[in-house]
Parts: sequence; C-alpha cells; structure tokens
Amino acid sequence: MDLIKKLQNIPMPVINLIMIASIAIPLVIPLGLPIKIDPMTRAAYNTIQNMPEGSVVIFDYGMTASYIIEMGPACNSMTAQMFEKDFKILFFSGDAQGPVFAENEISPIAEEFKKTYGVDWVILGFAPGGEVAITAILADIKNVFSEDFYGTPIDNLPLMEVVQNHEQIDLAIYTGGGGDRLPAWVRQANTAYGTTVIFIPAGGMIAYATPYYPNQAAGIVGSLRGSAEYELLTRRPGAAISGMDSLSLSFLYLMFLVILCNISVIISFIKGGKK
Amino acid sequence: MSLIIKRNIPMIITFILGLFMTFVYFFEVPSSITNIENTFNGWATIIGALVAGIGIIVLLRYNIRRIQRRRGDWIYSIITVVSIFIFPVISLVYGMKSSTFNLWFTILNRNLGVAVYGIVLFALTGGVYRAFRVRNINSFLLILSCFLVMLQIAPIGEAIWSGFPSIGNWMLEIPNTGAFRGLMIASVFGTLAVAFRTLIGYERGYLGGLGEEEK
Repeated sequence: MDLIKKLQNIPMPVINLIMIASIAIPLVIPLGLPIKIDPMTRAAYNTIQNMPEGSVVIFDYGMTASYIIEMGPACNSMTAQMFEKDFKILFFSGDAQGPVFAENEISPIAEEFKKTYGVDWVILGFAPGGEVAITAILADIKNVFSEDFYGTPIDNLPLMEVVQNHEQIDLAIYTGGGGDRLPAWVRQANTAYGTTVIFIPAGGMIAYATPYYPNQAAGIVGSLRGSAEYELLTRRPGAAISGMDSLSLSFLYLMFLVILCNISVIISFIKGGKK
Repeated sequence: MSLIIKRNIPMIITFILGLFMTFVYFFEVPSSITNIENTFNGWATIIGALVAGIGIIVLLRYNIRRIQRRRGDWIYSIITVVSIFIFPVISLVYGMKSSTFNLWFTILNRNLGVAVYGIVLFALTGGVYRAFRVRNINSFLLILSCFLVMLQIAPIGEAIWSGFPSIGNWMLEIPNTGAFRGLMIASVFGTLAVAFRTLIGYERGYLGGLGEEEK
C-alpha cells in the first residue's frame, strides 16, 4: 500500500519531465512506426486527384498559432497537390491571423511550383462575420473584397476576372478549429450550391466533422494524424510524420498515467473487495 | 427615445429582413432580388468588421482603466495595450509585406502562440494524473472509449494490435456519428424555434438596453 501511495503521489515536475522526454526522444531516435491511411483522408486525396486540371478552389484558411503545427502540414501538402494539378486557389480567412499565416506558408510552395500570384493563387484577406461572410463571398466575391490582402484592387488580379462567385468554384476547403464554421460551409456551399467540400479540422473537431462524411464532406483530414497521412499520400514527408512517434509515446504515457491514477481501484476490483 | 424607435422599429426590420433572407435561401428568385440579398450580406460583413473594432476598443478601455487604477496584475494590462498597437504601428511604418512585420509576427504571434498552446499539454498531464478516476460505470466507459480512440489515432495502437484502428474507427463512425447527428437535429429544431420566436417578436434579447417593462 505504501508503494501504491507513492505511485499516486509522484511530484508533478517528474510527471512533466517524463512527458517532455516521451515527446523529445522519438524526435531524435525515430521509432519508424507504420502509418495506415484513414479512409476519410484517402477520400480527400482522391477527390482532388480526380478533379480536372485548372479547377478553382476557395480555401478558408482559418489558421492560428494554435493550429499551425497540427493542420499546417496537411494544408501545405494539399496545396502542393493542387498546384501540381494547376488548380487556381483563392485563400481567405475568418480569422485575422489567417492571411498572414497563408502568406508565410503558401508562398514557398507557390515558388516551388513556379506559380504566379494573382494568376494562379490569391490571398483575399480577412472576412469577418462568420457564416454571413461565407454566404456573401460565395454569392459575389467582389461584394466582400474590393482589394486583396496586399491592397491590390481585385479588378487588377487576372484570376479574379475569371472567378466571381460560387459558379466558378469547384471545391471549398476549410481548415480551423471553429465548430460553427464546419456546418456553415455545409449549409452555404454544399447544400445551397452543391459545391464539393473538404475539411481539415483540429483534433477536437474531428468527431464534429465525421457525421458530415461522406454525403456533405467529400473528405476529412483531421489533426496531426491526418496531416501525417496526407504527407505520406503526397510523398512530401515533413513535420507531421516526424511527430507521429512522439504522439504514440505521449499517448501511451497518458494512458499509463490514467492507469496509475486508478491503481487502487484496479487492485480492489481484482481482489473483489470494497473500494 | 420612444418605445417605437427602441423596440418596434427594430422588431419590424428583423421580421421583414428575416423573412426575406429565408425566402431567398429556399426559393428560386430573379437575379434582381438575389442582388438585394447579396447587398444585405455585404452589409452584415461590414457590421462584423465593426464589431471586431468595438471589441478592441472595449479591451483597450478595460486594460487602460486597470493601469490607471493599478488594479490586480496591471503590469499584464500594459503588455496587452502595447501588444494591441505593435502590429498596426509596424505595418504602417514598414508595411505588411516587410521582413520586419514577418519577423515580429513570427516571434510574437506564432512562436509564443505555439508555446502557450504547448503549455496546455502540462495542464492535461496533471489533470489526467490527478483527476481521471473511475468512480462509476459511466466514467469507466468514458476512459475506455478515450483509450480506444487514442490507440486508433497513434500509430503505436496498430503496432500493439491490428484491431485497435478498426475499433476506434467504428467508435467514430457509428456511436459518435449517431449521437452527433441526433444532437445536430435537436439543436437545429431549437435554433428554428428561437429564429421563429425572434421573427415574430417573442425573443427580444437582441434589442439590448431595454428594461424589463419595455421588453
């Protein structure tokens, strides 16, 4: 019983240090565990692969500092896949930070694929107003954005001469942690106009997004695991794949902590006595 | 200000606009009417931007008052006020495309934001170690389902036993989807009820500064 009491009263610094070690060690000494592709991730990948070259995509880039590690790799891999197929991509965000992250993350990929800003991709900017902004953008982009993120008049961008509203948009992608925004895209894009929708939700939103698959959402690439799977599918290994081993060890450690927390309950259950 | 202006006119506007937007969403209408709908949507986006601005003003007011009165952790209020002005000043002086703006954004927003998000891990670890106790069958089932979903997400789950991903996927696709769809349908009915009550004037919370008698 002394041992059980000691195990249930380990100092928090020790607990936290072991957690840090379980995350840091696999980054230096990878375990190399295989990653199986989830059907929802594969569906998202196949949806984009099966679309014709030159398709137009509107990307709701709701990225913040909290989500960039989790969903950033998936967004980057998906953008690379779309650039490879000469898709035209319009980025905007319902979060004020989104366009800045889009600039930082997408510019290197655009350079890699020799894509021209204004012709192949555009960052429209920040559109407040939640679902109403999505409605307004899909109805008439110029009604919401008179200039792009850099202050260039929309009429001066060659891509915006071709894309005016939902009729020219073939695919809508949403990434972010906003619970309200997922059903908003379903209502305003998929239900209203039949536009194909793909989600890249945060970990806590996967359970919320799954009910929309496969009828409303063509694919869901959830959290860091989805990002790792997408990096595998697009053959662009990066931060997400390298983080999977850390995820494995840290999850195992969390489960071990739960068992440790309940060790007295487990022992009394085994002995069949009172708690 | 008379009740007609404070209460009746806003309610009439709400009724007419609510009915109009609902009608346009569900029925095929001429493009002239769709253009009116687009105009209203554009106005709503502008109002959204104004609301964001009002939020910043309220935040500034609160923190400046705390600094003036030296109340509580007023040092952090100084940091908040300075932080609100850093990026507008940098973008006005150097421009948003400048390397200076990018550097400050990376240091202050991105790196600090990721670090703060990472600290949540330690709070989670402490909470798991101290509070995740099985007290009854419900808490046991909760912890069991957490384990199964974690073993589905982490590649080590499949390395331990090939059945874990299937069980985790089943949990996401069947009980979770069923429960969430039920929740969504229930919440939609609730939203419809509130929307209908708002349209006919029974819900007046959005009118704001009216007294109980005036409502």
